[in-house]
Amino acid sequence: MTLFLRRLWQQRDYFRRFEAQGRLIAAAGALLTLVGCFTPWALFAGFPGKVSLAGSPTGSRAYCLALLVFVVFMFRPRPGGNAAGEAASFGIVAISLITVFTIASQGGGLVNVAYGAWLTVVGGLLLFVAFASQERDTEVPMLPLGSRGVQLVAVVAAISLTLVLVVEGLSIEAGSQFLMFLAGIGFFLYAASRLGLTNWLQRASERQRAITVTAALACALVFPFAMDGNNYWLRVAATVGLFAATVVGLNIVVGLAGLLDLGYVAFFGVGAYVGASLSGSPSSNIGWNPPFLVAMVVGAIAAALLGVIIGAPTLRLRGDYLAIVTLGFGEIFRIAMNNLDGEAGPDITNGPNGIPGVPNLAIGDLNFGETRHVFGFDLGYFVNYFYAELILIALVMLVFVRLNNSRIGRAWVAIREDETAAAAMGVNTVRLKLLAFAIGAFLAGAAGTLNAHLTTQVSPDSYRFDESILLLAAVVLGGMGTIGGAILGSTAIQVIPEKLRFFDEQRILFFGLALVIMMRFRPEGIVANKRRQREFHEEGGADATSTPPGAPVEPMSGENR
Amino acid sequence: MSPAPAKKPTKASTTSGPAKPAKPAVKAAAKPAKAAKPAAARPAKPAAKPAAKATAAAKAAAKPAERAKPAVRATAATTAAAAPRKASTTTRSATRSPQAPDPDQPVETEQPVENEQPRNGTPSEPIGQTVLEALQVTKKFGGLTAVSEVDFVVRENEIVGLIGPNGAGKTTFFNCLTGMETPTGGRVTYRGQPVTGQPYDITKMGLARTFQNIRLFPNMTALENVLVGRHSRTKSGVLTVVAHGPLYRREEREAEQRARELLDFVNLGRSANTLAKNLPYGDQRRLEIARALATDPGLLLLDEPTAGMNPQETAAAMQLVRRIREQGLAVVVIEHDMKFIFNLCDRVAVLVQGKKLVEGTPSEVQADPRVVEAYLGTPHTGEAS
Repeated sequence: MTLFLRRLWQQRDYFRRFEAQGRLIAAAGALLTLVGCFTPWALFAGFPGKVSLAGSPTGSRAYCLALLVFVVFMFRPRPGGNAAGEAASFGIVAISLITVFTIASQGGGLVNVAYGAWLTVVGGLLLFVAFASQERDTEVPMLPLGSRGVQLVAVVAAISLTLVLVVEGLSIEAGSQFLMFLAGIGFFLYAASRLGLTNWLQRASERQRAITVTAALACALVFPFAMDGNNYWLRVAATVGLFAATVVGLNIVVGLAGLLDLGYVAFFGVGAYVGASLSGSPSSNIGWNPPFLVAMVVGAIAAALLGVIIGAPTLRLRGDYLAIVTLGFGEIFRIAMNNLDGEAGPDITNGPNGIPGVPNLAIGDLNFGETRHVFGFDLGYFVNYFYAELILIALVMLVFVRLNNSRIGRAWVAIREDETAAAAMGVNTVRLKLLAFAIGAFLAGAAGTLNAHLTTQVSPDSYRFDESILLLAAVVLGGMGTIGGAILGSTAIQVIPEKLRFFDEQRILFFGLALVIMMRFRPEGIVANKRRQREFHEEGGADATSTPPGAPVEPMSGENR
Repeated sequence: MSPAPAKKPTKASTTSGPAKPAKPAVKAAAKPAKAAKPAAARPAKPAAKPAAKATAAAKAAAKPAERAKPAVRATAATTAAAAPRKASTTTRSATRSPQAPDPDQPVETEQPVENEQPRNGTPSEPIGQTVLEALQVTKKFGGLTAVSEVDFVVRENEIVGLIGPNGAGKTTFFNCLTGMETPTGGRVTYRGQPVTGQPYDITKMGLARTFQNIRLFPNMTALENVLVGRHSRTKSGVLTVVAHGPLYRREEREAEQRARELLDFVNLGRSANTLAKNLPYGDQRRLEIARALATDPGLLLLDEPTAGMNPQETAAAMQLVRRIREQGLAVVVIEHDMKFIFNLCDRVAVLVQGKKLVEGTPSEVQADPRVVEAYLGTPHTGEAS
């Protein structure tokens, strides 16, 4: 016993971050939280996550425990550890408190909250106090990149972990618990970013670009197998895929060229209407029924032409004016589609009825409506479309990355930074903005043609203003000017509202709240473009790139993943 | 393109490619005798040696213009300027056209170009052909006349200073030259072509500028800033970029090489990957110059290049401007630092309240009582009180 105590005493160095009292507070907080995580939180059975059972940490308790482990690692001094520990312990407090409120509201009062929950709240608060009483870390440390092997393992692990978390998250039935799950991940990510880990991961993935892309692609290919025939989520996945392809296209317009486009969904709609009209649907008013790939190109070109027609007179305007014009255009498109029903003009769109009965996609002998059996898994309708979307996303990504690392991409960035100076340096600002607009419209049109087949019908109400806003929100949330951000952002935008259905009416409210919080703490989005990050977080002064002249400097090319 | 830092003879090496000096001559010749054009254009293409001859040809051709110039130079008489100008143009084209079919031979035998009056400080340079010509340029903002009927000429390889008290309209005049403002009156020509349209068109013609308040792209690296300057001289489009076609790869390689040369030229080679906003002030000024040079200009317009610099930096900037001139460019400088202006420039024009007050060699301008008056006011004689 004495030996154990002595050993413990020798370990006190482990708490070196804190002063004497701080050590006590931190140790007490950690202990309380630990106990709290293994004791019941609710006095009634049936609360999601089985938190009424003692013994094993389930539901919210698991998230708190994970955060606690992280916090304990922060006891040892390390750069950025203070802020990270603070964030993680705040996460414990937040998660346990929200759980307490949900238990109280669902179980009928605070009496139903068991002692375990209170222990965790108090423990988390103590931890938070211990960290908050320390001097704040203002700087995020720049971790050395390390060997190639380490980078590879880390990148692959991170991407696989993402897949596991997505599958795990989707399997959570209860909305409230899903919210906790998200909160846990959010606090973890924030804490990790204060340690410089996320930044490190981003740099590593940029270095190991090929591996990153391959691993991400592999995960995407594996995803339908992991969901194993859960048609509901596979349908969502197919929606997300198409949404993501559109968002990456919009990211060229907004993220690279800096043009605020509030009517982007109209271009998507043009593609969809062209796709539906040329699909051979019985309701189509156009007799021509070309193969899908031709229809796709026609739809994309039609959208791009419209983009040029809208853009040519308006892109001489700057900023806000353009946003207003695009907003108006989006509405005009919807209303025009509603009225091109033959009553006063040609019958092209069947008006509000839209074009139903778009047949399944068939490219050659490949029918997208059939279910295939692979390795004992059934890959149905949505999986087929999901894979088709992956190809589309890959193509859009290629366009995005290659344009970004070219004279065109540089000119776009220059226009965004200082349009006057860009023009004075020989950048044809009007033409380049028009180009961004047209390329964005082209990609949206291509995605739209696929959408017509996926949803088997088009109607004007699918292309309302709020769809444009959602697209834009995905770009901003994910991170302007990055591909990873666009994909993560569209996943979040599509999946979170699905998961929050129990909130019914208020779910958009909560969603908005989440966006506001996001913009407060990470305005550059989930996956930050290097340049954006600088705009938001480096107001002049020294930074990593200007430190020692001899030190290797991160190449700017390939900043997007 | 030609290598950037050079200890080459002034005339042969030009940043903008050897074709530049010969070009206006061709243009002038083309007007009276269209048939002569192909022949005249040919010697412009091969590299250094014939180009040197062509340069000499251009200079020789400029001589008649030179003779007409004193009229232009008598700056006070702004109204009179238009007529002799026209005369000089016609003289030039007239003398040029017989030479045009074969510019090489007669030029070789031409006697060395005689020097015009020696200029203050700098060794006298042979005066070249007109690069930029502004005639009666006027800019009004509502009732305010910022620039009023200014005539301004820049010749090949010249460094011209533009000075004047604050608010004299110097920057507005610059803006009129570079298309950032449209003059309400008057005419600007660059190598005989009218300077009109958007700033990017004008930059493509060969006028490049820097800004009084530095306007770099702050969140781009120094190298990227210069690469943006290369934009107008590259032309790979969307398809070749997405396909990584041969044109894209060649242009990208050449642009980067050129940009690095230019960064070395302004001594920023080591800061290539530093963000523009993190560069020290003096470096930012030089980066702006490098970015402007990347557009392959024939004329560089510098708006207060030494503002906020210490004496050492100013001296370095002076060297830099001289080296730019050695590359075969003409330079116009707006500056408040009189020492800088009078040591550097071949000619100085003084703008006061939008009007050109005096123009001449630095010593002439320095000696002019009106300039002293404009800067310091009339000596107080006691009559007022």
